[in-house]
Amino acid sequence: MIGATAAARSDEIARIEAADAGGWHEIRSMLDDLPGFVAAGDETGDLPPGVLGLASTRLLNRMNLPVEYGGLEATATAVRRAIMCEMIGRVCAVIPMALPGLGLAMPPILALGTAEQKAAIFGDIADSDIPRFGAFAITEWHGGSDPVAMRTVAVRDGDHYVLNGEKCFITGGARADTVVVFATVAPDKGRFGIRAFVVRRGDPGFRVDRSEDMMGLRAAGLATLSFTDCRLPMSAMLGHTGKRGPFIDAFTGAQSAWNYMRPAIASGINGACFGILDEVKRRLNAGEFALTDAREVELLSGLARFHAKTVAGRLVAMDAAKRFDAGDRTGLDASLAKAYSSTLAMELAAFLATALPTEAITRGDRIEKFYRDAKGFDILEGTGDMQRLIVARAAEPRLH
Amino acid sequence: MNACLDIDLHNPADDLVATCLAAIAAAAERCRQRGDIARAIADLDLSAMLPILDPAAARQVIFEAGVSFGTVDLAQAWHALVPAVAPAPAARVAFGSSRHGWVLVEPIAMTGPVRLLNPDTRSASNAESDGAAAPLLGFPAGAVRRWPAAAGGTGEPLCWDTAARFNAAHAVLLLGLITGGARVAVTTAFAYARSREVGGSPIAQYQAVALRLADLAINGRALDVYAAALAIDSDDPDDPDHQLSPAASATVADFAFRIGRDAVQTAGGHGYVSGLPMRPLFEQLRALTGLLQTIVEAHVALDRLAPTVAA
Repeated sequence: MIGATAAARSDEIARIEAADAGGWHEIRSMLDDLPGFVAAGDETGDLPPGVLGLASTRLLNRMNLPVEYGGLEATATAVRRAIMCEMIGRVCAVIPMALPGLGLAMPPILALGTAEQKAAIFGDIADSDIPRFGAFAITEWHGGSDPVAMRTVAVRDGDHYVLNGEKCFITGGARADTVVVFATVAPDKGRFGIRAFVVRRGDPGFRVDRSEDMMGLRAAGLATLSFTDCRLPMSAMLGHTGKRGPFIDAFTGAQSAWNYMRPAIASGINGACFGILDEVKRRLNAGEFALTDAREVELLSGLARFHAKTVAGRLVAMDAAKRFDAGDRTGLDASLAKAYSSTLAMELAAFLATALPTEAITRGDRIEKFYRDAKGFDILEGTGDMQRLIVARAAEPRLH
Repeated sequence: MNACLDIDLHNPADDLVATCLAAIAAAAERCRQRGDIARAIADLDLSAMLPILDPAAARQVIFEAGVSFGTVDLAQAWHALVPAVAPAPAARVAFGSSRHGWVLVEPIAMTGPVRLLNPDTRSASNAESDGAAAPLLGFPAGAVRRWPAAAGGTGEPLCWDTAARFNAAHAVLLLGLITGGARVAVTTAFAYARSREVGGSPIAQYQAVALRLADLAINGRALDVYAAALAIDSDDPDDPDHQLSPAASATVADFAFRIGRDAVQTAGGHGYVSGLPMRPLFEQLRALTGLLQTIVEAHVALDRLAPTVAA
């Protein structure tokens, strides 16, 4: 099974390369140079200057766009995204979250938008010569994951909607030019009252209130956004035809974003685990650690054990990705993959911290950074608790 | 004022310890209200007190001082307590070897000469520079200093007893600080879960959160009693539950990690960003347990040479 998967992975990479050799090589060369930016991203809590020069703006903007709208071949399917994210995560799982492209804002537009909206938004970004950034704004201070508790409201006023509320913990929120904001048009209707709006940087009433000082995942950037009498044309509501709004609630679109992104995020986390395992092995062989023979044996056996667990994580993520590509409902599978990998990363970080205590507490050491990042993996994009609830509540826990 | 010594020294030793512990608890409580830990610890005059106590009592006093002041501010408590508990003149000691170089971990960067302990040449020498400093996880004013292998000169022969006492006192203090920090993490997580409402109820009432709170309490209690036993009960370095046992310090690190992790997770995103105490505690508990492990590992390296060094 493992061998077959490895072969399938290289076949898939060969197909990506055959479909878009230029894009593929650009990504490879970006990865070669990315390590030089990792420390700066962690230190400043922002995209390090120069990192946007590692690849062409057009390539970066088109990551995770659907291919039919000019998206990259390398991110055309969930399986490809999983392969890519693992490969990138080996180098750095954090900076890629901050790179241009719509990111998590893409799937709700794809799921909920009208044909005109999709063509306009995706086309605009695919053709843009400046770096474009998306953000996905659903979480609020009160009830991070509970749509019924949503307090951001959109009130109809003539041919406009007026948005009021605050969103927190928004990845990339401070640099986003295109934000998908979830708000309720009927607070008494729970999730059925929720709609999604595309808000642009510069729209009056939309403000980045502040950036959070995160423990890890720092380059990704986390912001609090506020909307104060933010007047939007009806066409800003995803699925609004100009005559009437969508028939389905936007929570479906949020779910589509999570199903889309979670296997990729799990793969990025797996990549981070593989990457730190490689790093520790390399430094161990180079004699960088002051270890007794007994401790070295312990470390090596731990590295082997965690390699096996990470391979299992890769298979779980790939399984979710395959199901997504097959058109299955993948809420369960995506959550399961993300919960597995984020738990694994934290266990691995704790193991390494106990095995290599001095390295794990020296700021700037990659083992130390992994320790802080790993805790964040279990919080971003739905905490481990939320993922477990989704898994436990799946109506039919399809375990095979 | 000498809060600890302001007592009748003819009383039985138990009373002396009890009085001292009461003075520490009271001083820490005052600091919780109004600050200045350095002043409060100076007033306790522990360095005068500790030598007249029997070793187990001295360890108990150091441990409890670590716990009490650690619940107020870990960095300040470490800074003020290290000179009080470390046998002079070795306030700053870097561990390592002429193979791998030396390392010194300080939650608040201190000044003064640094001694490099060299198990290979069985000697201690003064470092010529202050080493290459990197920031320390969780302690913005702290540092991890390193010296290359070549920095260790011949130095003077190392007095094994002094080194062993120094290491043991540091380990005991760190066990206290870690226990204090972990207590704050547990109580903060409980307080947060009881005040934060989602869906009309405090999240502490949801089972997924309640079970994690229970784990926090369980691991918190285990750490509390285990760290105290490690710190105080054993005089015998060969005892697996001695304060300088590597497996024991790794176990303490594991308890502290679980507590820090679960405290952060209880508050979700709020625990991962600056604001609540969870984020700094998660980092600081790792830094202090890492420092403990670093000292213990170095001690074990020295210990293997003890019979020849003792002379």
